[in-house]
Amino acid sequence: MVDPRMPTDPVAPPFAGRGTFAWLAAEAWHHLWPFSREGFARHRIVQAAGIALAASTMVAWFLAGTGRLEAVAIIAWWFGWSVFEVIVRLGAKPWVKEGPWWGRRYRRAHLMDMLCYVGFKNLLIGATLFLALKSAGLLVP
Amino acid sequence: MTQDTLHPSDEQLNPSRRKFLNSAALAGLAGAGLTVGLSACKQEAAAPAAAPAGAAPAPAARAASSADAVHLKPGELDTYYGLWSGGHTGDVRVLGMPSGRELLRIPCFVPDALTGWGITNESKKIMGTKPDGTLRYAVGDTHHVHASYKDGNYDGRYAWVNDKINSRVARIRLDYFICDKITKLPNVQGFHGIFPDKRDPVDPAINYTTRVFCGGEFHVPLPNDGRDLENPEKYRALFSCLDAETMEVRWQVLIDGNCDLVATSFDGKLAASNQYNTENGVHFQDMMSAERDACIFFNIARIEQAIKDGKFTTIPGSNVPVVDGTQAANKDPKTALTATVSVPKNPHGVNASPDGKYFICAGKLSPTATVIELQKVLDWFDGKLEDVDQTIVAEVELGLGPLHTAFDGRGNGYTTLFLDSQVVKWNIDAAIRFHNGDNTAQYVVDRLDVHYQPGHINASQSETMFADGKWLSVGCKFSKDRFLPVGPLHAENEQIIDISGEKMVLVADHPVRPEPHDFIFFRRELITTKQIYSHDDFPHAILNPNDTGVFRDGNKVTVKMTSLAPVFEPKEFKLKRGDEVTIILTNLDRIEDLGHGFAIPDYGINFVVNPQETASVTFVADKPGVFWCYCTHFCHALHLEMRSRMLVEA
Amino acid sequence: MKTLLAFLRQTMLATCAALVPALAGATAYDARLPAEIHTAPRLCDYAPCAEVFPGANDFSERKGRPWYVEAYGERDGRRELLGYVMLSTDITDIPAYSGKPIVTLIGMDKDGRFVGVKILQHSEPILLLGIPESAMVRFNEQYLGKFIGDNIEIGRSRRDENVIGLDAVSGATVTVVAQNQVMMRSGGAVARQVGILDPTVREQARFVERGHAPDWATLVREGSVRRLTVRPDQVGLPRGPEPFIDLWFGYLNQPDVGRAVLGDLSYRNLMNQLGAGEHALFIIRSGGEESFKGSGFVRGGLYDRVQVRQGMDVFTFRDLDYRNLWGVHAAGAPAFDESAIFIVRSESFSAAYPWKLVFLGNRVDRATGHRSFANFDTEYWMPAEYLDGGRPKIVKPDAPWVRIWKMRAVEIALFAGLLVGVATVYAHRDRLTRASTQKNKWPVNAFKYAAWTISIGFVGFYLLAQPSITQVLTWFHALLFQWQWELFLTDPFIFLFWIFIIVTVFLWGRGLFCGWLCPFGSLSEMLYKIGGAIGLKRFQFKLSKPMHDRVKWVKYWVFGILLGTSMFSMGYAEVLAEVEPFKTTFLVGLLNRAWPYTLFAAGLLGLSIFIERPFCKYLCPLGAALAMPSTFRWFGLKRKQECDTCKACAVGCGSLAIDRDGRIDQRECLLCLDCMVLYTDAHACPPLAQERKRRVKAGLELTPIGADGYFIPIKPVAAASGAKAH
Repeated sequence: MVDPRMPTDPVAPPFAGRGTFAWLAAEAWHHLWPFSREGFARHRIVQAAGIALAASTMVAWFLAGTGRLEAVAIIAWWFGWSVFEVIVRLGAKPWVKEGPWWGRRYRRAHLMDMLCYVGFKNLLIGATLFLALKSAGLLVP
Repeated sequence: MTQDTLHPSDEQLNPSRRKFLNSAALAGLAGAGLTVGLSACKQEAAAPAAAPAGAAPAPAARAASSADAVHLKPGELDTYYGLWSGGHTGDVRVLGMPSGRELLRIPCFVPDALTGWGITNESKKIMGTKPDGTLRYAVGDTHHVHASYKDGNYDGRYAWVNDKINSRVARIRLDYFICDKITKLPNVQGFHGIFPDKRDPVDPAINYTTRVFCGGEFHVPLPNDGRDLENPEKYRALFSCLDAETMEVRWQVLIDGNCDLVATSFDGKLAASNQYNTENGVHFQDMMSAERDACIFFNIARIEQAIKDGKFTTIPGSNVPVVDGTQAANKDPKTALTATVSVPKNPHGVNASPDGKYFICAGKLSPTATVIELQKVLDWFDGKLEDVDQTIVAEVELGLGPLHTAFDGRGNGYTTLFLDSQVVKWNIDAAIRFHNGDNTAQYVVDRLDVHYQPGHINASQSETMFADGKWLSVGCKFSKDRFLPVGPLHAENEQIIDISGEKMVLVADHPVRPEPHDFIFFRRELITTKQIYSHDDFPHAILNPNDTGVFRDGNKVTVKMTSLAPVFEPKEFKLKRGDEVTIILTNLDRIEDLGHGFAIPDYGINFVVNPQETASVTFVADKPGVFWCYCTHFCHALHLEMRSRMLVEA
Repeated sequence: MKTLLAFLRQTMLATCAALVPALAGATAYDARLPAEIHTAPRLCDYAPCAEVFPGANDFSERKGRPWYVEAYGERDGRRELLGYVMLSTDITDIPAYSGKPIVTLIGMDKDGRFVGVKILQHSEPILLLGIPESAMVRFNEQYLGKFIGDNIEIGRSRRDENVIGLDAVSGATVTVVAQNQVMMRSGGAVARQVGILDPTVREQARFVERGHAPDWATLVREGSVRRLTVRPDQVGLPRGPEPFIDLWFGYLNQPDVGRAVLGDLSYRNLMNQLGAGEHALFIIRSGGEESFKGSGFVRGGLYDRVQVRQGMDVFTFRDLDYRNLWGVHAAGAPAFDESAIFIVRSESFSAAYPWKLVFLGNRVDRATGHRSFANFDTEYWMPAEYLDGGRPKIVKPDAPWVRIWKMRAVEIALFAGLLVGVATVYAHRDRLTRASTQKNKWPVNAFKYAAWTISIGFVGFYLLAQPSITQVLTWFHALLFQWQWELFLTDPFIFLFWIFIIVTVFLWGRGLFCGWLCPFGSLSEMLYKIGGAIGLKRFQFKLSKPMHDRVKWVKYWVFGILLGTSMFSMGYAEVLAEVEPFKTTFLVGLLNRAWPYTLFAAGLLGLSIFIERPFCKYLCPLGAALAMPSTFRWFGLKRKQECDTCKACAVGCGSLAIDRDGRIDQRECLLCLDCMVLYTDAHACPPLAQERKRRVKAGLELTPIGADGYFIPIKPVAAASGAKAH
């Protein structure tokens, strides 16, 4: 029996029941780190590629930080990483939040949910970093 | 800093110097006494230093910072303008101080190939020509340069310089830094000292320079037209006064003796000249016969009143009023025009202290300086003093061959010792106390070796009431081993000394082309230059390239030309052989520093036209052919192409 | 990496390049201009000067400051000065909507009347297509014959205020407002230089001499000395701790300040050199390697790195306007290694009014090596206590965007009212849905239809405030290049609309905008409703749910492709954004566009009569872009457990957003509230109807329906009071 009150089936991530601060920290970690132990176990190849991609993303930001990469390339990198993050998350952390962001309802993520989640989240992170780098004068538009 | 440069300040009592004086000093003047003089100096150097112990580190630190100040970094500007006479190059040089960098030479009495001074009609008119249009004189000997005053400081209007050879005075405009007028003094030979007055002696509203005083050195028959060649007793020297604006000679004073330098008081009432050969001798031994020579004071107000009252004569050939200032005619102080204060034999240099109180005559042959109090001189004129020599408030020993004195505004004098090759710093008040019998008064503060044989000396703002006691420049007549050898003719050595502390610190040597004599240097704020000329300065200016061309009147031809980088207009002009040609060239460029030269090959013509300047030359087109007139003063990327063809038809 | 990127870009460009000519005859869009056009003395060797100056056949080199060229022609066989030609970017760098300037060549005759305007290069997306460039040409033609000294503005002519109005280009307001500024500033700068416009005469300052001697810190504190600092990264150099140039400057004629800075003697000397209407100011450089003097004054006699601006007047300095600053007298002044006294020789300048010291720099693009002007300035206004009577009052003209907000205040208020009203209504949707029933939805629909009507007529056709995916892409662009609030504020309706959209997407999802306020969406559904009402109901149909579930992804692909393209070329993304029929429908008008556009838009609208919102459901990239964050809206619609098997809502869902499990797809839902009406409708909602019947049969009380969508359970009073006791 499905619960039509949730767009997908409810899921309780491991940290769902923790105390406020532990939960907040876990949420933050969740947003920043797409991998999980289960995910690792199941996706060794994806995992390796993922770490490589993560590294190259770091390089991309670093290059941008030292002014050696065009902004457009940065965006492309970030985009590539986001695509990869979607795949990884679907394996490792296949859930998204439902309802108010301060609430604790989670649900299973379908591909589109994950696309929306990663896309939206990385847009915010990317824009913040981009603006920060730019205002710090480290990025050449 | 070594012990060698530290001198005991109580050595004025050293008896060995006195003994040495009469024998060696004269020999030294003849050029042989140098080593002896130096050895005498070294003797004293062995004595323990008298400088306060606590003051020692300060000069070292200051030396570092002041060395920075004289060695300017690129783009840094000097703090002072310096005006240096050029000696027998006949020019005046402008130096930046304290770096000592030469910025400009202002040709005055002698032609100058760079600027065309003595080539252009305008400069020839100032320099003076013979009836055939050639220059009257092509040599000059500038010694002393002094600038105009207002309220006891320089006002940046004019400077004046003498030509000793031909007795001329040149005036320099300090906005354009060019010579604008030259006056020849009548009946004067060997015009030496020169000094502008500092205010009017009578009218308090005239708080600026209106007169220039000129001391005549060589006594000659008056007029010197071939008469009395063999009657030396009739030879006389004249002391002259020029109007600062018109440069006309206002009056002259007939005097005994030969004038060396001139000084003026800050209150405008007195001018003075130190004199040698008060005997009016013709030969060396005659000149040395009297016990003492003199410093002669002129009472300006009385002289001018006498002239107003008609109590003057004139010398044939000149209509300048001449009053009698000889000692014989001025015995009564109440009516005297001059006062003759005695100073040791053959004095050299008279300098006014910035506090306005004293004139100081250096002894030259005597190792002393004589301090004369001006108020007492005025008292003498008022009949309040029995003996004119009571005006001498100090006569103290300084060292061998004292010549000239500069001031720091803190009560100290700095006197060059020609024979000792030293500068001695001494305190005037202490000297007066010493002279008055206070044997404990140590008036010598410091001594410093200079290199070598210093003549003139001056300090920043020293000749104004605003002497700032920062820098001292010493004109060393001999440079010997101080620079790379360049054959027998040596550069002279202008040495810069930091005098801001208790001790003098030598900070720089500067080679200068011989041979400057005197100089002044003063704050840069006092000068306001004009960056370019104005057409208003030149009645013949050609304001538009369209107005150029050849204008013929018989064989008198006027060629009107303009220059505008990189083009001369007209681009060619045609003349006939034998034409008397006047080329008038106006530089229409308005950009600062964008001057052009104009040279005509084979015609001996080259001159510079600065932005908005007009200059002209006149010559006879006696050589037919094509002559490329070209720009000699780098102006533009197309400088080489900047030419005009002068075509002279056979 | 680079090669891959380059390859991708090439491919994309090639594709788009193939597309563009087919869609629109873009000419000046990102036109490649010779580099010399911005620098060469002979501007007209590179720019079509003759086109903007009919009759002129000879043009001078660039002259003046800012630059212009003189146009000459033959009259009676004589060469005669006819007027002037200027390149807008030589004079001003005002950016247009794209964040980049519109490079315009302007001809102006000797009397100051415009004789020709030609856009050489622009980056305006709206002009690429949507609005044909000919509209811009027509806009520019309005300038011909107009005098530069007149007050020319976009909008209505207002005779009482001496304002000459220009007709804007619908949908490109921002672009033309910027263009008007460029025209007036360029023409004015040249007209003032050549004497067509009288120099502004400002009343000269009368100074109060306070007789005090402020030190440096005091001068800085009171504003008599000001600072202008440029950082290296502002000119495209690597960031560093040292400033690029660090300047202090101040006005010297005021006796207290002048004496404090120069010392008494230098102050007097300087003032003696100044004539009437001449002003001295000083500059010192206390840091940085860059020189503010440069070397331009050596050759041309002109200092080309600093100038003073007061209002529209620019004052530059020649070598003859320079004096040495011998030192700063005031105690505590910073050490400096470059200094100057500059003299402003103009009665137009007055120290009583504020002015700016401008440092003219160059920004070097590190990626391309391209140099562009970068000016930096600091305002200076003599402290009031030094001015007799204090500082004069000045009326600063409003910024263009402020003028627009003021000019359209009523409409803006109405529009804001609409937005707030709709949000308020929706926030109280519970009351409306409870008042409605499956049979009678008017309590909801009255508001919704009203919103649609206003949004189609007022928002869409009147205000032209149709949000578009291009705006999203433009923000993206602006984020990358130059974010200027002024630019977005120039279009107040779109600006407010986006605030509304962002807020409501977070709160409730995209449905409130898409379903209630989007002009095109409203028009689309309105047509569907009207179609139904006028008897076309039988022709109206829905895609089958499985079919719908496939096709609905198209719009995400459209959005994805647009986004991807925009990373490589905004221009081509703009081309592709033509998939939106918005421009054709509202901004330009169906009848004003090339037939393919009209056909496309009309086709979509026609289809809307038979399918509910076909564009919104399947194509709209804006909807897709808003749908994605809608996944994470805070407050969704309500469901009850029975919905998993009940199909009542799903059948009635116009958006096909309810799946077979009864779940609502937040991304597709347009918040029509039909299911919410059902949710509390005791007659229509099957579980409720069942319970209602049971209670009626059992003679039980029909309690109100609770927030959970059920009848409030009947409980004994005691239990209820017991519950209260808890």
